[in-house]
Amino acid sequence: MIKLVFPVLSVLFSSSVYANFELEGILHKQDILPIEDSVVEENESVETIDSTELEGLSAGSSSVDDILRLSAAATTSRGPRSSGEAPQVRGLDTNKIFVMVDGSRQNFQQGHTSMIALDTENLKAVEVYKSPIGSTHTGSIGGGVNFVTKKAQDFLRPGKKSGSEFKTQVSSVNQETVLNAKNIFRTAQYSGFISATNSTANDILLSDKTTLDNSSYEDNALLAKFDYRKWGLKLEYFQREDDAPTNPANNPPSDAYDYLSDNVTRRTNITLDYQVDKKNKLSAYRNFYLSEKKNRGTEEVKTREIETIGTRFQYKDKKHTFGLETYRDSLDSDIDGQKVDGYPSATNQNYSLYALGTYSLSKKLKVYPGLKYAGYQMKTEDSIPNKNGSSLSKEFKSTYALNNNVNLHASYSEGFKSPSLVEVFPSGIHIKGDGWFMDDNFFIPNEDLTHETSKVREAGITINSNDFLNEGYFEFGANFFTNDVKDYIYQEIELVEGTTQFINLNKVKIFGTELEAKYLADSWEAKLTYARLRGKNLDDNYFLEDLPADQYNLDLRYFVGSTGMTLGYLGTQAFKNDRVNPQTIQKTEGTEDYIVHNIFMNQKLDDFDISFRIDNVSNTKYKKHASHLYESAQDIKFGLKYKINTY
Amino acid sequence: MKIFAMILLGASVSAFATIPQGKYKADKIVCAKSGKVLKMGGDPSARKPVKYDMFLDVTATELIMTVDVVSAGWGDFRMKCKQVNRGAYVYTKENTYEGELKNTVAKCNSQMMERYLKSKLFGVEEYGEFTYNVSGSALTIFNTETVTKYSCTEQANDYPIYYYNKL
Repeated sequence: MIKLVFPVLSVLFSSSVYANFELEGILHKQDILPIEDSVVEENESVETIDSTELEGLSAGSSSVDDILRLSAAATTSRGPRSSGEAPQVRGLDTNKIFVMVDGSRQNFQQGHTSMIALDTENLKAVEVYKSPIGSTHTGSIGGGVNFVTKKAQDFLRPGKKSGSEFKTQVSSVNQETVLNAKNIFRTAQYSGFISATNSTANDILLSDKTTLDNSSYEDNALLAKFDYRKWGLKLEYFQREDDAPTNPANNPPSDAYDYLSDNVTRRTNITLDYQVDKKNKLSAYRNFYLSEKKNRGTEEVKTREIETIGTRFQYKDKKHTFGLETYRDSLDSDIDGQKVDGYPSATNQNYSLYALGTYSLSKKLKVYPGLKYAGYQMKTEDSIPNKNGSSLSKEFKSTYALNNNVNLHASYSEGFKSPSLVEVFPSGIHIKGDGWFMDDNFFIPNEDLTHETSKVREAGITINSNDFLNEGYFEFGANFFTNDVKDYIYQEIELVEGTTQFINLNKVKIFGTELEAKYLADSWEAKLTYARLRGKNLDDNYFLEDLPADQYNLDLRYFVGSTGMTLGYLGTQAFKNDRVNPQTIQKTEGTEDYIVHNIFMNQKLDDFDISFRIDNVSNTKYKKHASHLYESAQDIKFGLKYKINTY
Repeated sequence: MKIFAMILLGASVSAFATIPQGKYKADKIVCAKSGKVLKMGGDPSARKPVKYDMFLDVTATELIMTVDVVSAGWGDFRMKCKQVNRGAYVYTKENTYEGELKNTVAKCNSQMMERYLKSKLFGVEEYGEFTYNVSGSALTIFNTETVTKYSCTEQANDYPIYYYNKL
């Protein structure tokens, strides 16, 4: 029933079902939508996956993993269950970076709860921040990810006052069915849209030819955005019901009830923006996240609620960016409606002030100094003393143009991240024992847990040519970076004591290389990326075991004349990764090399979009590193969109 | 005198049903009073995140117990441990022998696991009296005064019974 309610709801808002259709002249480079919500300007440390790139995924881009495969610096870990996928940027897991949707912080990812509760249907772009440099966001010891959703004007064709879209999409590997309906309108003063999506999926067929039990789900999502003159209002609702194990990265047998649960995950967001002028904006938001897990063994219902209320203001002129940001996370958790002793309700108030500058010292030399002051105060309802900390983070970048085609850049930046409430006050049982040899293992708070800081050093070169081989645009970039992290927060399982606690490691080092070569011709594009990461816990001389394998990605697209057809290929070659620690209890094992091929075809007609995609064409059996499960088998996806007055 | 005693012991042993020599694999350990069961071995994907394989080598004069403790792939941590206990034994009367099982090896993939294993050793026995029963290829052994009670502590005077099958 609910499957029908959401799309029908959107249809009811439709005012233009019988509107005129028109054929747009489609040239692929014209499809890139401007990203007004982005604060990104020219910055080598930010990778933007734009609307054109996302379009290649339009059939089946139902998870964050689908999207981040387009990035050299970001990926997801924890296996094929979308309920467990966690973004990772330059080897830093989701709890060490910022994750935002339209600038609203999503601060709930922690431990086994890492899914970004997000409907990918309305995404305009995804910004991957690779380091703190040039970013106005704090709360990270590296970079982060910002998912930017569309606005009404991103949908409607020129001159059209209203429009609608209806989309259906199916996948073979888990029989996923996605239904989406949206209605868009605009006048001289008002604009907005409402979009409703329902997705259902069965268990996934894996590349080892087994079926992944407990990987089915049902999602319902609603997104409404309204703009009135300088004001913008966004309302977002996402709910997932699934039966993923308590740790979605694992695959316990179907009768291991203590490790299985029935789950409801819900996220709501309300954001209010005031656009002071073209460059300056004031935002306020409330993000509410609820996770309810009913354990199938004990039948206990564990509820966790995290509310984030944030504000943000930014002032920009030609040379400077000033801003301030505050956000407060509030944590509440209970088991069967009862408060758990020792696990208090708590709040974490974060604030930051920043000033960034851009100065041209000569025609060839530019410098970008910056200062960010960030701090936090953590309070509990109980008599536990408040925690607080602050840091002045410095950054400096310089770019030097050797000539019109070759640019060098070097930078130093510092990161700061307060411990999260869940890291300081984790609750409940972590590992259920067997009553004989294995004892139950419990999470315990660590009131001494302190904030993490980092020092990121980066250097690189960019070479480009507008007339490469007398035809297209060519660009080559190489980046080398090191990230020295102090007080890295790490989950430590102590079996003798029967406890799990988040602790600070004194020194952790991550370093890596990213290469990218891009060629854009009139009718085709090619992008080849390579990423290599290494990381060590220097306290114990252990590898950071969950860093991704060295990897090549190849993205090829061919635009078939003015027919509106795009043919594409996405390939990944990952290398063997044996940088793990078998001498510890860490369960990440070494992984073998693999090559995965994906192909897609998109056809834009005047009032229809047809998308066809095959992931893992050759049905390669493979595991991504840091995943304990095989990835999906060959997946054939088909999408059909009916458009009324929209692009 | 020594020769006389050995002849006497040999004569008396021959009168009992002894444990056939060879290798045995434990099927389960059961608390005698509470009935609580620890199922051993089996499918590594079975419903417990840790899999135990316990073997008993019976020779004429010595018992050697070997235990392999391995975590299931779907568990939250990696564990690979090997434990060996060994000790001499002598039959004393019908279905009874006296002996011990001293721990000689306790090795794991990680130092933490090793500390944990050493705090929870399987099957270690001080010198004492054991009751056994042989029925076809099945063998049960228990010691009511055992120092290794596992979780057979909920009821007074409870103790574990080891159920083996001959390989």
